[in-house]
Amino acid sequence: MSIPVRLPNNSAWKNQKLVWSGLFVRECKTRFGGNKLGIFWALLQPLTLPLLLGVVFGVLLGNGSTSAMPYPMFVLLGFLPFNLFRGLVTQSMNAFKANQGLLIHQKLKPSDPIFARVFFESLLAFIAFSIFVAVATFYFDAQPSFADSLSILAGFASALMLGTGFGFFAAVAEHKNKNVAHIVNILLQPLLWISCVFVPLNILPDSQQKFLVWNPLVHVTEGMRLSMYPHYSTGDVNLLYSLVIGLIVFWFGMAYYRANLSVLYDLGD
Amino acid sequence: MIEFQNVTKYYPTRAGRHYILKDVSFTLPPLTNIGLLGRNGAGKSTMMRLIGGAENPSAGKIIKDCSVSWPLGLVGGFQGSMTGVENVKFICKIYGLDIAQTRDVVEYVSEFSEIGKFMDMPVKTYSSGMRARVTFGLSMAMYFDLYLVDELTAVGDPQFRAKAEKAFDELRARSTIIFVSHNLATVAKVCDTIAVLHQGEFQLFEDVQEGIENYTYWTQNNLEPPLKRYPKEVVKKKNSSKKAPAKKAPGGT
Repeated sequence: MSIPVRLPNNSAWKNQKLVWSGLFVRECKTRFGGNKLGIFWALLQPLTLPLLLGVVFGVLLGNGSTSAMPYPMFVLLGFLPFNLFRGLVTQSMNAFKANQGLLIHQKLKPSDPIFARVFFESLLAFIAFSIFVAVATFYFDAQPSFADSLSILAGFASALMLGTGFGFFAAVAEHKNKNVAHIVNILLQPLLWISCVFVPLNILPDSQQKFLVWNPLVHVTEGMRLSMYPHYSTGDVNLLYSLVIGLIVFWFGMAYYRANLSVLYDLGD
Repeated sequence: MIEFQNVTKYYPTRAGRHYILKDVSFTLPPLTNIGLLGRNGAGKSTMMRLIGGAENPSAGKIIKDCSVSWPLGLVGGFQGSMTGVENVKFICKIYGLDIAQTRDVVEYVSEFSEIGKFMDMPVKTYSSGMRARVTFGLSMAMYFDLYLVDELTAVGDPQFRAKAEKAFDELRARSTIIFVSHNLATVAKVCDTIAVLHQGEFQLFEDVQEGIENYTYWTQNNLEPPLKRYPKEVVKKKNSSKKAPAKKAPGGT
């Protein structure tokens, strides 16, 4: 045995890659719980409610209001990006707490566990999107178009940046004040209902639409549908709007994180 | 070797900049046991993070050509829901060890810690003594040129304590140690150089007693920089005779 082992002198970038891949593997281990079916449950569990709602309402209402696509597909396309956003916020928020012990290793910056989780959530969302859209396409004979793949990408990028930005905010704020976690979880509930996940924007009265279009997530959910079903009729949505807001939120989240680094390191011995 | 060149470190706060270090330059002597003294909030942890490279100085330069450990002795270091083995493997990975080395480390830590099948249980099920055994074993298994030791309090049963003490002596002999403790008696026993961090100033003392006496004198009277050193006989007398601390700071200029 060669104990003590000599440590290799790696470059900063190599170190960063080691940290991220290590944290990613750790994320997989704890989230899938060492269970072979773990990934299956991780994908299915957040989707049970929308799937159920999608099928039930789809049967009850027919396809009246969303004639461009079957209702379950409609719900799926709204819920997947919304779920990515929500997952990023809640997972980032708890990233410090879950990895606090590891932060004494000076190779880890407090942001590293968050980025590992962002990557993990994004990957999960991508897999969920591929599988469920494929299943829905065949099962409901939905025939989406992937011609406008740039817009689909823009939708996911918006959700990614919005979620990461707010996630950084929530993580730092939660570290300073433990009540933040509860407030964020409460706020996320109504957000589901004002992001056009279950109801199309254009069946709502104008007075409500006016307010809803301020919500960048409405542009994400409706924008995703529009990009995959060009005949889908919706309100005044634009993925560029959500992208720009996403960039701003991300930038502010990072700035807030940087300004509070000393608090995160628990300044004051 | 670690060299600080005109290093300044501050944190922005609502009340303005909070200085940890103000234009500090020094070179850490190699293979010594340095006791780092400073009051709560003086910035000892920040100092460790600067040395470890986790944080960058606000101004100045830190030249480092040696490997630095994580601060040993803290409760942390592990992730609660992963097992002991998984945690050790994770840490080996982020420090860049290959598979064979990682296997050796896991084997060594399992043997050193003597916690048996608990190595395959989540760390959150461990007692604090068991945690300390694993962390300590891990820090022994990896070679660092410089070990940061933060308030290494004795844990565990007498039999393990003897083993840990022997291991710590080995550590002290093979590497530089920076030892942070509020227990001056331990510092005096373990260290052969004293570093004092007070009000943004940093001073090294070759003589342990002199360092401790000056530190006590400076902090008890809350002297402001520039801090003047006193020969140990003088400070000793002042420290012992002082009941009511002097209002004016002697030797301020």
